[in-house]
Amino acid sequence: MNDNVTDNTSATDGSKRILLVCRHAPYGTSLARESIETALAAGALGVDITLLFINDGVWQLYNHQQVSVIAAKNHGAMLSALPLYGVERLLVDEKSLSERGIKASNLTDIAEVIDKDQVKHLLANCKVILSF
Amino acid sequence: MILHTVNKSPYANQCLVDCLTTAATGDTIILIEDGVYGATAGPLFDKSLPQLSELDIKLYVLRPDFEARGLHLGQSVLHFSLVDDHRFVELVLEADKVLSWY
Repeated sequence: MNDNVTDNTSATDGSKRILLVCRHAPYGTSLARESIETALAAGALGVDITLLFINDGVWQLYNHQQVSVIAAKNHGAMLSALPLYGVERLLVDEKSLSERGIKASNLTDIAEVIDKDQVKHLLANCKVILSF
Repeated sequence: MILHTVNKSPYANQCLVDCLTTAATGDTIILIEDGVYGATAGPLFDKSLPQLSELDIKLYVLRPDFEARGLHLGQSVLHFSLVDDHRFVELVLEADKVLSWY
C-alpha cells in the first residue's frame, strides 16, 4: 500500500476535482453508503473524484468486515469495487489511523495513506468538497 | 479559503476538535445549531489556542442559535463574532468551498 505514497503531488494536487470527505464509520448511519453512491454516480459521469477517509471514516476501510450477522452489505467490499467504476483515488489520513491504533496492513489495499500536510493540501486544492 | 461549519456540541461530539485540527491558515469557522456551545468551551479551545492564533482563523457564531440557547459571549476565552443569517449566507458566498463538520 505504501509503495506509491512517495509521489505526494499526484495524490494531493486536486485542482478541478470533487473531494468526498468521509468522516463517519460504516453501518451506524447511511452516510458511508451515500458517499459510495455519490462516488459511483460521479465515476459513471466521468467526473474526477477523490475520496478522503479521515476521523472515524477510516473504519470504512477496515479489513474483515463480517456484515452477514447484521444483514448489511459489506462496505469494505463495495469500496474495493470503486476502481472498476473509474474511482481510483482513495486516500486515508495517517493521523486518524494512529489515533485509533489501526495499522495500514489492517486496511483494504485500495487506499493510499497520506499525512496531515497532504490532507491540508488536498482540501485547499480541490474544487468542491462534499462532506459525508 | 474554506468555510468550516460545525453543528455539534463539543461536549458530546469530536467534530469541533477534528475541525480545528484540519483547518488551515486563512480559513473561517462558524458555529451553528448545537455547535454554538463551542463558544463556551474554554478549556477545549485553550488547548488549540496557539494553533488558532498562529493560523489566523476567523471565528463566527450564528447569533439566532446562540441566543436561543441563552448563551453569552462573555463566557468564551476567544474572540467570536456573532453573525446573523444574512451574514452567514455572505460568508458561504465569500468562501471558495464549504466543509461541514457534523
